[in-house]
Amino acid sequence: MSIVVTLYQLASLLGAVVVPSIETALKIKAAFESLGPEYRANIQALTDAAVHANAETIAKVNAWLMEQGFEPLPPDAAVAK
Amino acid sequence: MFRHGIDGKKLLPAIVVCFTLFFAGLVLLAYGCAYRHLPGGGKAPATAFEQVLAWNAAGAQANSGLADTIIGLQRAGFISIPAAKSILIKQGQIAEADLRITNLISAAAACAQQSAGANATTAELDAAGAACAKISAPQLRRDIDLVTSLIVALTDESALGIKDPAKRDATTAVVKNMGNLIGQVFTMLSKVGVLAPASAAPGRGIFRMKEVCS
Repeated sequence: MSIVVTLYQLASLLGAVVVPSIETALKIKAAFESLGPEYRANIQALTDAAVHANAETIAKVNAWLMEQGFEPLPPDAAVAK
Repeated sequence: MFRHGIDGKKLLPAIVVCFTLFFAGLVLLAYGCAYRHLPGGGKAPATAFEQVLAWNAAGAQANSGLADTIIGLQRAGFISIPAAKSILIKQGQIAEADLRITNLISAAAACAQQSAGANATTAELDAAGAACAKISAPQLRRDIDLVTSLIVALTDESALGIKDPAKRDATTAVVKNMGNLIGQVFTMLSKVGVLAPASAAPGRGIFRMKEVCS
């Protein structure tokens, strides 16, 4: 983990070339390795992380599609239920 | 725009893509079994559903990072708009299916604690969680199979659509890591008895299945 952080810091110093998603991935890795003793809190944190990442992906894809003049993804009926 | 033969417009996105792939690969390769830190300073294995949610969250993060990469590659000219569109739509469909998987697994995990009690052991939580998840098994199976088949399609498309060999290989490695993570989710859910282990799902056999955490 420490080598990842060092490389991350080095890359950042070289011109902030690391995009935010990688920072998030590092946070997830840290959470993955350091779950607390409370089951419910762990479940909630991991659920929130996945929901946030998936929502972010859908938003990015839709933003790119619309920027290129395409229709966004159709709403997911199964989620809306 | 060109100085010493370097296209300034393409340089930064190319560097971003390079680092994105590097870190995504590094982070994903480092994933193993999750564990809990106990108040006295010790460690304990995560329950089956904490482990499944950890792999699931890692897969969702990888998908999000990969979307940045594909958009960066398209803007830098390494991938055409039609190829990027096809890949990104599949990534969006994976995210939608994974939202459903997340909700089902999270509900089963919360139900486990309610039925097993606040002081339940890991084994008791695993058994209760499996019982709670049984009702969602058909939907879970459909969505896991959908994500698996989309990842198989992405593996082929990223291999065909990206012109630069190094970026193509790195992107394919990230996609395969996503396949490994959903494979781990499937294997653990099979191990605790929620899903039937036998599978005819397309492509499941191509992803590396590590030994499931105890």
